[in-house]
Amino acid sequence: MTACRMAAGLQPYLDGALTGEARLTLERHLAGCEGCRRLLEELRQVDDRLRAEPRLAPPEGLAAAIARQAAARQQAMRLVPRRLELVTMGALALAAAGAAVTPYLPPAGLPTATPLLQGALPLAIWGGLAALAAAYFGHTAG
Amino acid sequence: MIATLACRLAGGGSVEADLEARLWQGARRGDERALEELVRRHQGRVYNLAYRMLRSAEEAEDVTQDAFLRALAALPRLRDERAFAPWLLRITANLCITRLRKRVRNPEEALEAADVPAPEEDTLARLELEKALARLPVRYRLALTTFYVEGRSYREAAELVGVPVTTFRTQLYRAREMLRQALGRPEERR
Repeated sequence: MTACRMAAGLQPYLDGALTGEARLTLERHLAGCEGCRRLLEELRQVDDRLRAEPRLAPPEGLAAAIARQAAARQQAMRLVPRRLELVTMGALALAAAGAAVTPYLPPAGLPTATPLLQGALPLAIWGGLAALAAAYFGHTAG
Repeated sequence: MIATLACRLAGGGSVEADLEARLWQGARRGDERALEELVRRHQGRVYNLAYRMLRSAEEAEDVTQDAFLRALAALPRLRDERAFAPWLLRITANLCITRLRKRVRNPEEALEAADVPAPEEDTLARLELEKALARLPVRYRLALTTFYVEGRSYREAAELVGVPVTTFRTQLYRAREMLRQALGRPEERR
């Protein structure tokens, strides 16, 4: 590379980034500096080769394939809150059933005959299980 | 006459803006056709950036796909649509950098990737340029690629790469200087 102190301005000059007085100063310098003229020519060749690289067309069908996958992922993401809702409902129903049962639990070995246990408990347990099953099958189907 | 033309232009602009708004709405809802149109609009830039960074058509396709899927997954949370393209290109650049660094760690993989011929004309000069580019440090290659593929100003390219303008100019300067030395003087090559 030329040792000329003006050489640092050659690339910005080539990029059109030098304007006004700075550009004129460099152009005046180039008229009298053989080393900088040669360096500028070499840089111009590099620049031309980089600009001449062809712009490639993406593979056929790539956009459609990406869109298909993206749409499927977005749909799956939308299903997540609904599943969480079902799981939460199921868990709450089971927890409520547990809380309702606790005060009425008979001593070990005795049968249960409280009306609350006969009616509400199976309903809450089955409801909770149904919600959990819906969340599970919704997940596997999605 | 001029007023009519201005009205038409304004009307045309609003139709275009309306279509654009619908496209974004559709894409956010996960509409496949809207998503495909959005990908079509940006895939050329993403693919060419990836190809010039990686010099492998197969890897460029993988990276394009990965970059879009990452960007589109976060689309419902994107507030300003103008931020989409620069964001997508940054994701692409980062994915390319990760792959290039992996190649450095696995030289065999680097050789495999470098052996893939360019899909266009395989002239001697082109191969020479390919080799010279492949030897550049990753950051320099990214600076060159964003500047030439995207045809951007120093400031825009620096923002895209995520470095200060002065750093970007230094990287670009050194990259071109390394290429100039690698490719030799024109008269020496004849």
